[in-house]
Amino acid sequence: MRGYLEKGCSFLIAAQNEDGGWGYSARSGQSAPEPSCHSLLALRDFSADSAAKGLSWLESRIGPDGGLRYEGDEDIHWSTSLAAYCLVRLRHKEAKDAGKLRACLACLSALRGSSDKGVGWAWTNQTFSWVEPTSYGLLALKAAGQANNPRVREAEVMLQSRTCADGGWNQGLLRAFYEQAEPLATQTALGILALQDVPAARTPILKAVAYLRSAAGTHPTVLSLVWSTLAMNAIGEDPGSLPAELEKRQEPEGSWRSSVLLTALAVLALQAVTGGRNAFKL
Amino acid sequence: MRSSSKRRITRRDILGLAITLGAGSGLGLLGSNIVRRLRQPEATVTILEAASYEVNLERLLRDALRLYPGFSSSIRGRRVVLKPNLVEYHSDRPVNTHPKLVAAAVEAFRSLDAAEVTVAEGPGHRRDTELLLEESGLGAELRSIGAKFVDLNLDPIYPVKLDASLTRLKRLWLPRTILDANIVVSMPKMKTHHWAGVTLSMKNMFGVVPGAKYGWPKNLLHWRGIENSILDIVDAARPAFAIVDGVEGMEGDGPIHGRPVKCGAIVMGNSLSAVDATGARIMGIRPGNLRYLWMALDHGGTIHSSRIRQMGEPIRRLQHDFALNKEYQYLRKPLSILDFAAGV
Repeated sequence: MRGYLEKGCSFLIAAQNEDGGWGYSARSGQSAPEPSCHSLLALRDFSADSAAKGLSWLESRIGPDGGLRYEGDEDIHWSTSLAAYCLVRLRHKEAKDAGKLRACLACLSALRGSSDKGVGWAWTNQTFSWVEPTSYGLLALKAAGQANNPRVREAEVMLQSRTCADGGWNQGLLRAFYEQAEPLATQTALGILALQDVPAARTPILKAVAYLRSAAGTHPTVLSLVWSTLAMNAIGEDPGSLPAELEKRQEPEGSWRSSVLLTALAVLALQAVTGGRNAFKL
Repeated sequence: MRSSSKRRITRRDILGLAITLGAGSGLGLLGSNIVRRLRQPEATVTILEAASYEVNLERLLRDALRLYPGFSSSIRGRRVVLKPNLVEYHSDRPVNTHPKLVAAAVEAFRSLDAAEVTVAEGPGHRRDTELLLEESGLGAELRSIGAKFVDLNLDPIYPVKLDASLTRLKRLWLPRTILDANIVVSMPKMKTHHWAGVTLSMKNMFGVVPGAKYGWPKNLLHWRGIENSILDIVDAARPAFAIVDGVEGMEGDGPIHGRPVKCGAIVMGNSLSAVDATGARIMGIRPGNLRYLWMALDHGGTIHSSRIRQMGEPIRRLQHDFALNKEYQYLRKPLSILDFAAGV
């Protein structure tokens, strides 16, 4: 394994909380669903022990109704879709407790976000649909072999109805009051990943890739570099110098910006381009 | 046979009854509004003049903080969190609190012996905080003075019980950095806002709500009502002081797409509603037309000028009518006698 990947994975292992989950930053102490899911995906081939502890934490946060919750919270968290995706990718279908995944997917199918066109997923159930939770919802159902689930088609319609005029996606707004809303790198990359298997979406995807290339040239932040690399790699587009730029941004202790989330995503992006698996390729 | 003693109810009777009831309830409302006015706690607001961000802002702020002896003496040894506006970046639009003012506030609180001064924000709909920090110049400014920035969207979060719960949420989850702070200071940009009317110190507190829980944007709170959310968030986060950046504000299609407007004002004080009422007056907006400020009256707020002790520059010296989108022209409309009675 390349040195930067090994250092990145080691940082993640050291940042793992006692309960098995990960927080957004190494010293936060509180495990959160999003960095935990991405860290689990990043470490699945690197540390069986760490991944097992992480998986155990993730399952503990999924209730009997399949919804994932923050400890002490009653509300189902938007990352239920990401948890389902994670369980699928960790081949959890074959595990003893496949019931957790089934419940999680059923819960995901029941969660809805409102929309004027198509129905996606919301940050909080029964509010407006947004690009990011909708993309994770699509990825989870498709990865679980539920491409024929009626929610998939509805959400694909919703996503395609929210592309920005010049290509790409933002949070999910076409207009911001009087002005046209502009695309953003993270949401654009997630939109590409969610629609990567939809032949009819080829044109918006290529426009989105063009946006990512231009954005990476002007605003190469760690977050934009990781998601752009993952999205381009997943659809067979050359990410060019983005992975090298990402590699340069690694801190001496192995992290990216001392962030667990960014480090996990950077490891995933660099794994994808160095011959490993792309965790987000369907 | 009908009894002749029974009198028929005529239209005139109904009209008379309606007038009596109307007058009675009008007087009742007038009375309750007068009570509302009288019970507004006294507040002190300071208006500073700063023609640009190149003046000695640190000294200006430090001297003004000393005008609040109780507050300034409470800073010593405390953990202070400054919460600016950091929303989006457009080089030609003053969307965010100016980095130089934020840095000056850090130094001013340090000079008053704060144990720790942290700058913290949870951008409302941008995930990429690194991008915002670097493009806006805030990141470089904070590095230059060795100040720490915390992304409140990604901080550990804990539930806080809501007392009034206008949003009908039982609890609001807030970041540890805010809950552990001894003093939270709201530092907004003075600007128009296409939903709330204005962004001032109370609306600015939306940014403490964590995206990790509520998403990007924090859409649940929009669904529960902007004004309800503003009041619940302020109640839960308990900001103790406000410093409003009106040196250069934003008018028109705010909070993001508006135009810059030179105003030259910094408004500060230890009552957020009074600071916002004063900020609104500087913007040429009647505070009583801002629904959240009207609602704040029922939650211990102060907005009437007779209850606000004014220090520094007079409002009229820096008052500048901020251009308003056509939907928000009503923010300038004269108040009714009932509003007047309430002192708004």
